[in-house]
Amino acid sequence: MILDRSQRGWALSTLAAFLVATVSYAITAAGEPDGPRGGSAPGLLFGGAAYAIVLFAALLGVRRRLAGWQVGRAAGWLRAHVWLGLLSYPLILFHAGFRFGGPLAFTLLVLFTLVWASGVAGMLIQHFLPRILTESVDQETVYEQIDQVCAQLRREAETLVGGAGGKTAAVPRAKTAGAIQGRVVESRSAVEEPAADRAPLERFLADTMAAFFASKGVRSSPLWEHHRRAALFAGLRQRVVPALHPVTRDLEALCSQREQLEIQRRIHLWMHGWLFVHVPLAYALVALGAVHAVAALSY
Amino acid sequence: MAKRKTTKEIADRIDPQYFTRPHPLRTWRRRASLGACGLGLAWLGIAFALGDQRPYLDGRVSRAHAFVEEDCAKCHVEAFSALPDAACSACHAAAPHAPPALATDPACASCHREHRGREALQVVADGRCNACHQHHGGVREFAGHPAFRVVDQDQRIRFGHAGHLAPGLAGGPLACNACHVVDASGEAFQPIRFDAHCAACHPLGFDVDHPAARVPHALDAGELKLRLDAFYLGVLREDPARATEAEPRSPVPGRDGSPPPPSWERALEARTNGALRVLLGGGAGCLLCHTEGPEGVAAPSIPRDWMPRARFSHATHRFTACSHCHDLSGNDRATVSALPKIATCRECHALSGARTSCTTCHLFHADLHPPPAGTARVGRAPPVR
Repeated sequence: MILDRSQRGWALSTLAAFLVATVSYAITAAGEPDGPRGGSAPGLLFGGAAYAIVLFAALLGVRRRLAGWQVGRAAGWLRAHVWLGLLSYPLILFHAGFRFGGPLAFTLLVLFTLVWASGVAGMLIQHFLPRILTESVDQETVYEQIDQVCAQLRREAETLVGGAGGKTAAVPRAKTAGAIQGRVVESRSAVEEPAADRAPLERFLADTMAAFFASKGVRSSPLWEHHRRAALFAGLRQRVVPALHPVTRDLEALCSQREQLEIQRRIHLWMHGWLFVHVPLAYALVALGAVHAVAALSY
Repeated sequence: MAKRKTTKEIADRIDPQYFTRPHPLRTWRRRASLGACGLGLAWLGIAFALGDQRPYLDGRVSRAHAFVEEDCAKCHVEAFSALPDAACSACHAAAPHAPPALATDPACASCHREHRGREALQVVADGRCNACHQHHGGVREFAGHPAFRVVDQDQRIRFGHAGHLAPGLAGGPLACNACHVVDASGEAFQPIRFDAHCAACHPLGFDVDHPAARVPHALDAGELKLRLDAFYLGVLREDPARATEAEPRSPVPGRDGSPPPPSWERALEARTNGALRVLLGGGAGCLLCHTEGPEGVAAPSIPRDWMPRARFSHATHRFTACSHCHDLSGNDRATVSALPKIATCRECHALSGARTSCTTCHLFHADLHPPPAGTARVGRAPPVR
């Protein structure tokens, strides 16, 4: 979610709610000689509100799974999730009276802190990293398909090395259909290359490139670093006939795509890695929070 | 130049059914979620199986209640309701509010807030007191505390601290603890005892011919006369000739001044009366320290507790010199006590960080201000012995 002017309404509403809650807490706390308690009426109100927000925030995951559940727009749910989630932390601190309480209450406060902090971190990450991803990865693909695309890149490389490359060529041209005119890419049959010694290409593919297209160990490949990759391909071009130089450039382009996919994978992990903290702890918070509510009200 | 891919080639890269297959990230996130929930619930489940309810505590209970910390139901006898006083009185026989009694005492838990840590149960916030004691104008801080109300009564004693602390005192000036010894409670002092504290300098002698003779302290008039009669009877028996000696008398106007005929009875009576005059008359006998009442020497009435609405621990303040609080420079025989003013207390308890809460000096329960065993709290104290 990008934090822009469209969030102003939610931001101001959250700020207003925070101020109201803070003033209410200050007033009620001043009237409590022993300090505010979660079991008092205001404390229960703060705690109930915070837990209701937690439950609502947890529904975001349900909303995403149930794509056909048309209760509001997904973007609206996300905004409510973010801004109400921000508000929930001061509410829970007001509920606790800034005390840690017993073991379960302490655990809940720690969980809440981690969930809230990871959520804030995720919000900032989701604000900045997509821009970096767009700038540094111009051939972004679906994250879950990266391994499949890598395998396909390898097959393309094998095709190029095997001599099938060049059978078709992409030719850009302008095309007009009625009143509509646009730029398209068409596949055309290419001129068959003369027979050449492809052994250096085959060795290069097997010894150096194959590992680079694997799912793991990409960063340890010599092709990962730009200058080493350029040097390797320069050396390769010296070992093959000039007629095969276009093939080496295509192979280098495939390596570049592989590098971008790896960058995308890493950025994706940063963009979504915080969810490994946020989501599991949020579920634990929901479960233990329910136990805490029942136990606290019982006693 | 890099080979340009066709849109078809690019589209073919994507498996259109990819979202139907589990992805490691989502799978592991789901497992982590289940694991986190399971871990938390397992913790509570194990505690439940072991009968340990401490996870649900709202903070540690006080030291006195630590032994029931694992069993919430020991105190929380009714679910979904406030803690009843019956839960406390099952173990504690707490006295009601100190005088004046209240029509309805507040609930135990309204002042004693549990789950505030090991030491906190007896600590009652000032606001709890001020909620009712608004007639004090709400003593929000010690600086606004009214002046002390001390016991004001005739102590029937003449004693000047200043004279006993003076450098010129025969035998050297006394130190405070020569007479004032803190009792076992640490709050009050042991009673002053004549034999221990006074007799060395103020012996109850009565006859210059018998300087070693003494009478016990705190005898009533009848007992004293019997003692003296017995003493002089012994003297006369040892030396019968003295019984026949003429009684030395001063001439009285209108009489011839000749002594009456001697007899044992008259000799005994004369000597006993002479001793009684020494002991009871003039300013050097009993009345040196005691005042005279309708029935003779009045028993002293020194309050054991000068401020019955509060408590003060001399033991706690033992590092402070007595003279820091008690100004005895002008203490003469007419003013026995030298209680400090509240301003003296404020030097530490309002300005230097010492505790200033209500419960530092005042306690709620009547039984926490008991008179020391065997002594009256206020009023007539036992006679000085």
